Amino acid sequence: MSSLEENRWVGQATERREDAALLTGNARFIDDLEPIAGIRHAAILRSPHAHARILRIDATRAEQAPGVTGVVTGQDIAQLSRPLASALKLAAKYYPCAVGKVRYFGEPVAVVVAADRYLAEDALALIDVEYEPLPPVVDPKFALDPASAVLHDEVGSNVVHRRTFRYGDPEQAFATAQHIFSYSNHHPRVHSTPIETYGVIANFERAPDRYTVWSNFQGPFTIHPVMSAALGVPSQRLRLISPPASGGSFGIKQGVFPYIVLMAVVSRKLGVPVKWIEDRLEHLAASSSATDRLTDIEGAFSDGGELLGLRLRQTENVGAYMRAPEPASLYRMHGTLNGPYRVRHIAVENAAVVTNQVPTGLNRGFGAPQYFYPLERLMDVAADKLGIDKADIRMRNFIRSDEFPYDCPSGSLLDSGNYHNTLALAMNAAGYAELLKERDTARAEGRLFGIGIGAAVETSGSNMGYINAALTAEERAKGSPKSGGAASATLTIDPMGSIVVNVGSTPNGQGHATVVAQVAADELGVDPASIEVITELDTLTDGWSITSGNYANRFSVAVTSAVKIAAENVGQKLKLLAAEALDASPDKIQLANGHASTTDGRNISIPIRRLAAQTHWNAVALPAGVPAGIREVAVFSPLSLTGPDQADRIRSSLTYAFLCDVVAVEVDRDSGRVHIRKYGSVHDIGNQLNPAMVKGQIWGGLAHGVGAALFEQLAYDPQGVLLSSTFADYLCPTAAEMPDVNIDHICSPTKANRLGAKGMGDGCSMIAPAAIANAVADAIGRDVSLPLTPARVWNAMHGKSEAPVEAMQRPADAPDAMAGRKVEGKGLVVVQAPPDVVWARLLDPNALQNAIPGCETLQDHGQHSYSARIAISIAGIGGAYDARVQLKDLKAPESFRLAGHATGDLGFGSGTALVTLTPADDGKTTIQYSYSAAVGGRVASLGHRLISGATKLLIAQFFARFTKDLGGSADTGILTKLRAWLGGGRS
Amino acid sequence: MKPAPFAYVRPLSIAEAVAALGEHGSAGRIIAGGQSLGAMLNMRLVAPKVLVDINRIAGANSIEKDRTGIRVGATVRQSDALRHTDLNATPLIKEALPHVGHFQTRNRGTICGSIAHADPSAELPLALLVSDGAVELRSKRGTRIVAADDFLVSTLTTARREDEMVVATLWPSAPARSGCAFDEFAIRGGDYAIVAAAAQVSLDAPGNITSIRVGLAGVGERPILIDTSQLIGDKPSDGVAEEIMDRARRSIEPISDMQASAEYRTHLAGIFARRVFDAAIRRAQEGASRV
Amino acid sequence: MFEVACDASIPVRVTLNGVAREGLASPRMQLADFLRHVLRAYGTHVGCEHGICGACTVLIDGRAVRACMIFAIQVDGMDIRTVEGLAASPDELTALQAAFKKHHALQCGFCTPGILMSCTQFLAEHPAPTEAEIREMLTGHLCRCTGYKGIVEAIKEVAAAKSGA
Repeated sequence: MSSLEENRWVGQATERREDAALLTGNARFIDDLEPIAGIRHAAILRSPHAHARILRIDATRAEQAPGVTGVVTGQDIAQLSRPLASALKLAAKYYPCAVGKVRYFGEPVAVVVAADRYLAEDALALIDVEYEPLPPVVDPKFALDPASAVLHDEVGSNVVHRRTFRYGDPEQAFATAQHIFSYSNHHPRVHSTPIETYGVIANFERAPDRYTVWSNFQGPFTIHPVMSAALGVPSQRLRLISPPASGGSFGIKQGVFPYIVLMAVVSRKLGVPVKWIEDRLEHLAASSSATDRLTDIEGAFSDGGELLGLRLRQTENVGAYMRAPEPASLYRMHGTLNGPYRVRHIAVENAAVVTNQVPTGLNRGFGAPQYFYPLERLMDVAADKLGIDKADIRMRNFIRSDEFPYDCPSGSLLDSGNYHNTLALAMNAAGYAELLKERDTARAEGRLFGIGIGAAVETSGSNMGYINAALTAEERAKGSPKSGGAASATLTIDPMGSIVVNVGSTPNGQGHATVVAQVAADELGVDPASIEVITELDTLTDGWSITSGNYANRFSVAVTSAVKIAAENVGQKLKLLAAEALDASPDKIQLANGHASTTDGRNISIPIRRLAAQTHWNAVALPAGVPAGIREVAVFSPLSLTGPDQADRIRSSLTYAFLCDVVAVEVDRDSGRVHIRKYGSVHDIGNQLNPAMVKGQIWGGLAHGVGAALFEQLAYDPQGVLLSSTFADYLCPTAAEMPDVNIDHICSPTKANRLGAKGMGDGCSMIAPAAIANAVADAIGRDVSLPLTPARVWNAMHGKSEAPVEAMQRPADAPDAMAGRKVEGKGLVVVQAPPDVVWARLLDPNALQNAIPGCETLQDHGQHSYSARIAISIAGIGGAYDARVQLKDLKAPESFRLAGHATGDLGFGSGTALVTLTPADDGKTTIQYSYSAAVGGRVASLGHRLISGATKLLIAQFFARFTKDLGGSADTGILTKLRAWLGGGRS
Repeated sequence: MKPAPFAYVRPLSIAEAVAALGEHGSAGRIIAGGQSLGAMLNMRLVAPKVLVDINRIAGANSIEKDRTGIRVGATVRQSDALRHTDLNATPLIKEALPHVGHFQTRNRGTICGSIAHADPSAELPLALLVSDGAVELRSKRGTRIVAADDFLVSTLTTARREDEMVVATLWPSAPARSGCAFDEFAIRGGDYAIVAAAAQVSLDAPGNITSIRVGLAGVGERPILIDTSQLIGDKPSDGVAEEIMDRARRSIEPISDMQASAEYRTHLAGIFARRVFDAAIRRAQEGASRV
Repeated sequence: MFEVACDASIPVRVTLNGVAREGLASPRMQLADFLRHVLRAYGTHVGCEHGICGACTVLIDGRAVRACMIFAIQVDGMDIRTVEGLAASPDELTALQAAFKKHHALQCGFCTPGILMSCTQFLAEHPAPTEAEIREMLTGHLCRCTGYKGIVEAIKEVAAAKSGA
């Protein structure tokens, strides 16, 4: 492929054809569609528990609620569908709705269908579900422990995948190396969370049974057979249709597929077309997520910093179910385990575990950030230990430009690149030499300034066979082989000469149509504006294959090549027709400006429209061998993408772009806040098809990278309650947080496809977290794990445990399965009555009922055991709770212990307290109390910021009421205020 | 994510509004800007039976200025307050407002609504407390003025009774030779403050402190004032600033949450208390030098 | 006093992009749902329903407001502008829209209508904003595609053209 010519459309930074409709409110997304009459609306009841057995579901009241069509539960789903399969043949059954057991916070438990979404949500509250909570397994470290509670009894262990790999002679490399350095991390979960959520419209029809589903599913269409098998229909009876526009995905809209199956079954069961539009809370809790990964990496280094061997131990947390295409996250980088380096000896131990977190899937970068982060941190650790400059150690290890094509130890073939020049240019883009000086100055002034580098090989155009690397050669031999990464395009010219290209690449905002038109226009010699491009897919009417869809940067590396082939073939046909019409040799015809013209000096021409029209209107007169009409279906199928070999080597991708980020940060000593001072990013993506769109992808990828580096984490508490449940807690970067970036390029075209373009788009999302973390570590001289929030950085600076809360601690030895967000406190109240009076009152059910805020009924079961119905309300938040309380260890009139739990509308909680009475002067009593409570469910997820304060308030309210006619004083002013409030208000 | 059903009442006067509140009691809920309540309704964290929309009450959106200070009516939008020149007399509210939410939420959110909501991290309740301001409450039973310190009870809880409406917040004018400052630390702009701090000081002619109020939010169930009474009469100095920092840290028992440990909050509380104190003193001195 | 029962639907009248429109709404219907599903003006998008993403931002009497946190019944009689009403005719783009196109200030375009509405008020009030002011205004919107670069460039260009003219 020669470099792109100047007068071609490809390579030009054109405006996008998609934009006019989007900018005027005319683009249509899934929630804008009513493709069929009589649509009803679904809402999903979701588990408030991370792990629990479902003892009973009673939907009677919900079914009778106004506007409700019906309710579908997990049992119905299990009767009408089969479990969703994954590449690993696990015994665990994964249905899109919990059957028997819930395994993550937010898992679907039942679906209500009603006349509108409002009514459907009303009915959710009327479904009674009885749960038996089970101990949750949240942290993958604990999932590795055979003693952890098992999620899937059929599997018997939470470790659902293990494989080891060995390339070269790693034992020898480590045995003889002068230095071995290591690095360990737990890469947190991130969530691509596009602004448009999932949407599904499902319609079931009988005779024959068939499903039509409109959804913003983005592929890969390897998932289509998974869905049709789950629904028990031949694949042509599951018709998937994508809407004209899709509001972003970054991979995550792959994860809509269980909801496609769910709504398809619901439509069948209830006999109506059903629309479900996911809301943001559902999306953050229960769509999909990137995996979190534990990595221990070791590098064998020479004195001179040469990386001689690598050992990786990776434990992937795939969440509650191993959902297709997992464990792909763990294998996406498998062919390129050496990264951009020349290291030949590599050992890998892979494990995947299930935990009580949302199942994982495609998210921007897919498996690459988790891999590059420890590798690039290790390179910095080694550079520090060896006293080598951070850029220098990479230069010493990069694959040299004369070594391309480079055969990676684990199988990938890196066909072109100049890694040294890329880094040199990135250092230039960031002003590396000046940054070094600036760092000296800053440090002399006592400021915390650091420089970080990250280098990544950006794999694009996935080999369908790479997931099979998760299987042993024997297992692979038993199953059907998988390989390849084909793309197709259809180019038609209708009887009026209008050109239509259909690629079915299901974009989510990337502007595929613009680029397809550019590619086709070049081959056909027409204006791109005259070409209609169809990017949405209808599996019944469009050609599709398992590789169809929008993932792994495959558009620029594969789809565009298919377009080019189709357009070339049509161009050849047009030239044949022109040759006949103009009485010239076909090789003396050129297509330009909408005309076929002779290049033999005669300068005569004919409009392309007329040539094409003639194939329809005058078919009999066509030259021999030229079929009527113009409809060209082209397939681009890279034959290099073979399946894993006997040695588990796998060419995991079609193209391998390369990028280097160089970043300087300053860390605020007072707060630990990271300020990005300089950012240079240089990409070698081969030929650029549309440079303005390339830039947009780089900026966008960087925003995800910066977000993952500094802010974003899908965080769970130790009991599996999701803490990042809203956009107030899952912190995406805004315009104010984005640094300015100097972007540059070098160009090493690839021969792997027809346009010389390497895939791009993930880019900085893969490497920015590592580069920024390297800079922060350089600034503060300590390691911090992601995300580099101010509190974590400050804690690291001061040698404290990083996590602000016990975000990922093992549940207590005797885990209280009811527990969730933990609240602890103590207090003191002085009461104007002697201890025996206070004691008697504390044990008097009537007095208790009067004192407990919102206590509607209180039943004394004897033995100091009570049950109560309590309406809690703090600013109207709360609802009715059923509580059980038991007093223990009574030592009259000195002390007792209290244990209790409550379940209600918004959540559940349990707690213990110790109450002691001591006599004080003048016949008063000092009541001291300490408590530890845990709160779970929706209120813990949405209101975790306020729960501690709310608990204190409720206790204060109790004592205010309790002491109201006794008189007393508290250790805080709140009691006085509350008493004034009670005195003047309620009663 | 849709609200539970509620009936809707739209009073056109404060008398109608308090009549509605008197009638519906705990089942009623006032909506002003709705920038917190709207989200809570959508999430069904709250489900009032009746929503009392006070946005069309005649005159409720007025800002009145007199000798003693500013009276901000119930439906004055945050964005209008930010632009209003009368509020130059009470500069702390103007210092705080840019930290409240975003351009778009300030367009709708009200000053009084934010104070009535009493989020423990919110800026405006802190600003009112440090300004030594008050809340004007009206019910069928009459009107009462409650000092900010008495009004702010706890998390989302105030001294407002169910039948009462916050009809205005009262912001005393800053005295001569005074200065104020507001600052906060949040992960991103517009996020809940991990720590917010505000200070209001005044000096006498020789430059000694004659009044001082320093407060913090985000560090407990409600905004708090640091006890600084012993600093009255002192000349501002590094030592005094250090004292403020220490006192700030000793006055609070913050919680740990996802974004910040108690220890980190305590650390930041000291830094931000000192920062706003220093800035307020500087402004007071600058103001004094201009006099 | 105007009162509506919780299960009643009443006519809500607005001027939507200069045209008098009417539709039925129950008290709890979000303005965003009213615009989209009752008046069928689908250009306004819903992204989070808790006031943070900004996708549903519309102009109510000239002010950029979240349509997810205000109820249709509250805006009866008011003037609403949405993305459909920015340009004078369907085949035109405003200078702001054209600048967004030129600077690739959108990719999926789902957040874009809300951003355009905020910019419309912002630029009317800040004819010559600094980049920091632009970015501060944009913190009320989340865009996951563009990294905001093109958006900021587009707004700067429109502001420069306006204040320079």
